[in-house]
Amino acid sequence: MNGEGADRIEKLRQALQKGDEDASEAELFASLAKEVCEGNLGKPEIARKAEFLRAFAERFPVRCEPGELIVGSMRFCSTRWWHRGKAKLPEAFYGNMGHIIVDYGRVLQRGVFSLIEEAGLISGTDGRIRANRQAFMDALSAFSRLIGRYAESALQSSRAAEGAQRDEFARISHNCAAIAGRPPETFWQALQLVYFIQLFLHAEGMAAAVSFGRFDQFLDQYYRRDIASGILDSERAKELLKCFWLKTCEGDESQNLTLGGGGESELSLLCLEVAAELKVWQPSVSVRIGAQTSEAFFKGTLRLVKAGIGMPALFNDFAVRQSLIHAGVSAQDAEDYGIVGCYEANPQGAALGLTVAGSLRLYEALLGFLYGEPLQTDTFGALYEGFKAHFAREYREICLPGFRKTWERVVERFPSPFESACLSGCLDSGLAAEECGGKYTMFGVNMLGLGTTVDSLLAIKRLVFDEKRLTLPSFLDQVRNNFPDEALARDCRGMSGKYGADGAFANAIAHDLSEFAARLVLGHPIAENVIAYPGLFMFTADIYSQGAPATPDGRRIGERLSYGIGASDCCSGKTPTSVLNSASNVANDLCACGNPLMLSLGAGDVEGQKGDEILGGLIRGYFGRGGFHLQFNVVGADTLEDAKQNPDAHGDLLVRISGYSARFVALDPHMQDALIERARMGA
Amino acid sequence: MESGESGVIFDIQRFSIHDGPGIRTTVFLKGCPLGCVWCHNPESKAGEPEIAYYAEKCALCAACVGLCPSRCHEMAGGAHVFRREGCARCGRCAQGCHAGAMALIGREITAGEAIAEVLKDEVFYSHSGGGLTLSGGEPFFQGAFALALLRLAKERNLHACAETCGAVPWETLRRAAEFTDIFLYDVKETSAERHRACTGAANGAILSNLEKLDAHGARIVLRCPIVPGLNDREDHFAALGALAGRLRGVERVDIEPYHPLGLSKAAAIGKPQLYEGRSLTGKDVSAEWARKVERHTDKPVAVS
Repeated sequence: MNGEGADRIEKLRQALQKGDEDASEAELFASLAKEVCEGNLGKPEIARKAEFLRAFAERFPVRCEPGELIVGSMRFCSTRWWHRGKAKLPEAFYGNMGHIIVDYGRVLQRGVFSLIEEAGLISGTDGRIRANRQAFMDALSAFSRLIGRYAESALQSSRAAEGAQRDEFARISHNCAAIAGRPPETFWQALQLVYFIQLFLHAEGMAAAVSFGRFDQFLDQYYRRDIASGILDSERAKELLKCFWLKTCEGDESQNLTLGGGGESELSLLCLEVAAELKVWQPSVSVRIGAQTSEAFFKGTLRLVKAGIGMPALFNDFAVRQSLIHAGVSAQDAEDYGIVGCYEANPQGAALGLTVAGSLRLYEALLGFLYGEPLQTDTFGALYEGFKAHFAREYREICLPGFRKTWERVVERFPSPFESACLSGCLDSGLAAEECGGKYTMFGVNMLGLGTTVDSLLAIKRLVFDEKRLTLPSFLDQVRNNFPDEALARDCRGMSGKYGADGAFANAIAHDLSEFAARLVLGHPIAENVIAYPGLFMFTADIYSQGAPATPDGRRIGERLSYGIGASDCCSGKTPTSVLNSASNVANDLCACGNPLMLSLGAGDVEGQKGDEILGGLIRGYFGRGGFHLQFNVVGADTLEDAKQNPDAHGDLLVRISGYSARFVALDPHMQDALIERARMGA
Repeated sequence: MESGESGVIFDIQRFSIHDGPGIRTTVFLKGCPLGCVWCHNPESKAGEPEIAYYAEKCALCAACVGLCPSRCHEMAGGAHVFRREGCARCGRCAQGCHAGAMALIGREITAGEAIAEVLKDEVFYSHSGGGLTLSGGEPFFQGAFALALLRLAKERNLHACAETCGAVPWETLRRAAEFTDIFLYDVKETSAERHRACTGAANGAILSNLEKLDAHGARIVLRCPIVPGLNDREDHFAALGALAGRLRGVERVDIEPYHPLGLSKAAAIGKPQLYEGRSLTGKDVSAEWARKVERHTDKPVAVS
């Protein structure tokens, strides 16, 4: 990027940080929501939402800032402000559950006016369809109106500006005017329209994880056309993308953006470069890795991994597609998957994903069984079968009714006209996404604590059944009382062969239990046409862990649970490869709602060509064994500092010391300090 | 696995990424003929298993006192006293120590068992160009065992690296060359006199084995520990460069800067180290060492 472009990006980045401290748009949004939504409580929800969107489009301030190439503000929805309670949304504003990829490609292809026309053609005389038709048309018209107001605003800004900025505002105004109704004609316009869609989805739902889907795929035709006609070069494209990236940072904190999956283009590579150069927190970049992944795209992916911002998340095309097919998605739609939120796979543009709608805790199911029922304890096998039967019963009798209540609430409170109009299927069916109007309606069931649960079963088998060191009741007594016997706690924690240390028994239980749980979820639809699909993670697991009781694996009250399908903190003897081996035993091909796995590697271990070999070997090796997701945390000084204070949370952290990698927490404190110092100085 | 040949190892380290190309598993064999004053792995020196005592971890629970058949453990005045005289290295104290203060270093294993462990990560080797590395100690100190490991690795098509200090019979190295893709060959000191002073042995056989291995057509990486005050000398750097330049099979020189991790390990096994440097070598210093070697050879020089 030339000096001028770099200067622009730097200024926008500073403006973003400053804007983050300003809650005024969030407050304004809350007061508008209060005014509109409290006044229309008697109407159908979809009409209420359309009415709010119209008010938002008509009345919310619009402004074009100097230097911006992509305009539109999402500062009204900065989640950080809600948390501080400065701009509390009224209860009458229901929003929706987010966690969706709408069909951006289709909106771009057809343009807003065509969609309004399509909505108008929805046939049906029953009240609901008529209300939906009106709401879809109103929401789309409001969307068009908002874009039109940006065109006007940019024009005014242009008149007030001088020189290059004057021309730039004029071009932005032209862009907005063009896409307010018609399909975009240039890459710049397409990018601007994607951003406006994102903005409007946020205004409608005020929810997290509004995700972009296969961004490089649906934008590629615009990019190619402009490059071919000479109105765009890759430098300018990067500048536009950077402006777009910075704008998404105003939105929610898990706007996933999927790249790759075969047919990667120059645009795919530019997106990877932009993410690595900007190092900002949004969008959350995911990459699809498969047999057709180009070498250049894989290399670009590794460069982004090495940038040390915890991105991208890597997904194994083979396992992810299989998992969607097992959930009932057609092979063709599964092929076209994108990632929602953090790790959840959905057929892009065709599904209401509800990826975090349901949850359960595996370790609680186990403890409930152990503490609650008369136990069959002749053999470990009998005990384990008893646990599975208990788990299945609890799932049907307690979890499912709860999930069905959640779904009823979705139908009642969340039907969203704009989101639905942008999703494939709703304009055909005349139903909102939340009324099963899209091609697929899916309900995610997030299961927490696989590693902790497997290790707990291992500890029971070994101590009670194999070594007969103590009886099950006396062992459970220890667990219930948070391990008063320190020696027993240490033995449980330090036990060999745990999940993540590649123990044969733990691997087999991980396989059996995950498959059992996944099939249980898949076998019980939430409602007619509402697929239940499993994932082995829970987004806020750290928070839930605070109150989690002690578990037989030696974990004490409040200590962290295993996250995703990773190893527990109290799994000793694990290495990156042993963790991957254990994780490849999990039912990865059944869990489309996400089986995340994080690995921490020292920054020094991923440097240069050798680092490419290591990362490439881990990724290809794990995915070759059927892994679902893999993400690297490249560790710097701050993590080392934290590891020194909290060694249990970083048991597997490796650092490089003159020629080899040592477990950081096993080093003496002086050495730890020296390494922290070294990492800080970068020397 | 079909080899019943057994030996004593002190670790099998998976995801080992600094001992040869790609992702590897390193098997550490016990026993070494040299006595380097700065030894980075002092627990590897003795050929047989031994007991380590990490006093700072001791929970003063006295479990070991009752477990020891030789009465080597005693609680005296609220402190744990471990007397090595009379210790039969049975490892019972280590087995019963929940605090991890007592550890038995070294265990007997067959070559087949060790390779079975190594094969667990096969998929990662094939995607990264990695494989098995033998290290130690001096792996060829247990010559027959080391050769059995390398032969089994080759039978399973694993890439194999062998680290060696070179102070072993030529015949062993010659046979190892059949199964070994890359030798990681230590050259600790190029001056004969100083080599004897720092390691307790002459370097004549080591250097002649290196020449023979090179003439035999082996691929070699020279591994050169550089220890401040002992061998960070211009003449040594120049000689290393010249050696690397002269030997056709040498692909690279690895500078291995001294680190003080050996000190606490040496203390734990009751064999204090002679060289007591306590600081990590700075990256700028080791880079400068590498540059000094580079001036005398066209082969690449890396800091590991």
